[in-house]
Amino acid sequence: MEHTKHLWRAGMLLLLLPVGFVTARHFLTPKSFGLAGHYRYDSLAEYREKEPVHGGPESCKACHEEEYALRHGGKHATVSCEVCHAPVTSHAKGKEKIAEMPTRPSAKLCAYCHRKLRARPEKFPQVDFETHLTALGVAGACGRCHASHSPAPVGGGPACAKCHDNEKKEIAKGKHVSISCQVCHGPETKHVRDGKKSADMPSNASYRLCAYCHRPEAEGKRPKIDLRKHLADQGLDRSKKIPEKACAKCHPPHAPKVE
Amino acid sequence: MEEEKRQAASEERQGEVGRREFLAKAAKGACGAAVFLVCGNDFVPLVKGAVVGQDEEKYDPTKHRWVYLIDISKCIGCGACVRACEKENDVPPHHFRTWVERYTISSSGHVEVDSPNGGHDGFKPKITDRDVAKSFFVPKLCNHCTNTPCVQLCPVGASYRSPDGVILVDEKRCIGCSYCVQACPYGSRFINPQTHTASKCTFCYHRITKGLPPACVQACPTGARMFGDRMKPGDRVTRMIAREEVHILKPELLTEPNCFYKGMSHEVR
Repeated sequence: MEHTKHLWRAGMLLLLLPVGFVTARHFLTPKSFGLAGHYRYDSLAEYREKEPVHGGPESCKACHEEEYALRHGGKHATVSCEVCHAPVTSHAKGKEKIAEMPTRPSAKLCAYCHRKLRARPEKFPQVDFETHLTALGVAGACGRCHASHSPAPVGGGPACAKCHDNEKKEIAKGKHVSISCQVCHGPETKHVRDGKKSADMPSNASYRLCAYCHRPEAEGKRPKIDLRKHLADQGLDRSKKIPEKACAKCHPPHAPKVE
Repeated sequence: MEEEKRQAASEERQGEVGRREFLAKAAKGACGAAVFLVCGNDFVPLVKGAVVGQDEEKYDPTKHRWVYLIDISKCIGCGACVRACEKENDVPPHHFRTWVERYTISSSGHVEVDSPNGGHDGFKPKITDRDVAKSFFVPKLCNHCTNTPCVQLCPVGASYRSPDGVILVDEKRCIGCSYCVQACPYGSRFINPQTHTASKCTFCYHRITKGLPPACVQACPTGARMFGDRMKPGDRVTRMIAREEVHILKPELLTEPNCFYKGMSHEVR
């Protein structure tokens, strides 16, 4: 009988331990833990709470129907707007614009998909960026010739000649015969829609257009000219505005001659 | 005679529901009922933002089984998926929930794999002395395995497989021990340097439960990445997996991935 006290203590301990454990577990285990497995079921709902960042082309359509249609009908129909621009939620909230949408017309962006790589499927349109850009004497300006929303390989000739027969004949005679119309005039999609004229072709008759290819630093085999000197010789001051078609006065652009 | 009797008895038993089986089924049923009662209506209402096309109906995870399909012959290695994933899920720089690998195989069978910054910044032409027999891109992500090693060894029940077949991490429970990072045979987990918890592809759970495709699938310009629901009748991706020649990564590990690869070369690991 002298050990009753000890037995009593041990018994109480044995009883309290599991009770303590169960009580502690009750308060420490999250409410939804174990409902559908060995995890906290509420975590699923928390994942759902996050708002989507990308909206897809349908989200852009509400405000940019024209660009949407242009893209939808062209070769970039499967390219989501946000791939080249930025997520819609960084630009709009509901139908309200909250920030400018970045347009990134850099060659780097085009190169992501169209740089020539051995690992790319052969049929996918690819260009050797280094030679393509060097040959043209332009750097980082794909949009000059290719419309980004509905791009096409620059063919120019036959499509443009449908309406512009005179120009076609003119160009066939001169040194610019190998240059596509789009190189100087820009993408035809800005001018023609569904076989009909949709807008005037943006005219670019600045001397800078000619300088693009004929400046001394331009690469490739073609006549180079020191513009500063040449313009000064012609009595034109570069510090003032050089009039449009300044070059075209002496050098008809479709069939230029060097005099 | 004895043998025959025993066989007959066991055959009889097969037809019936045994005690153990009954208990297991009853437990499962009770669990299901509990889930439905407690959480069936617990999901948060949808937030209305600039994103259109969100399914406003309540989402029931037991009615979906998500599955992913990649057509290797269509991948152009542009990295749009990697960039989209980064923005959609706030993935820290130089960490990837999805990435693109480039395989370059010489005619003697030598395999070279590279993935500069996970393909995030695109690829530059590969410089190699060997003569290249074939080369292709392989997009990678969490395989959302049915029999996954990463969930089995999580000591705190933070990694789990949701009823719709998505492997997720409960960031509130994760202690960042990185056992799962080491356990994943596909290298698809990492410890987020900002939260110090395990992070991985969630199939964009916040999107798919609202009827939107994962960000990488939406960003893919060539349709190389496809997403489907095995429990949806007439699902295109499910049909492709059933009818066409598709492969899984590391089948020898018996992880039963739910990411399938179409047109996969045997060199891919």
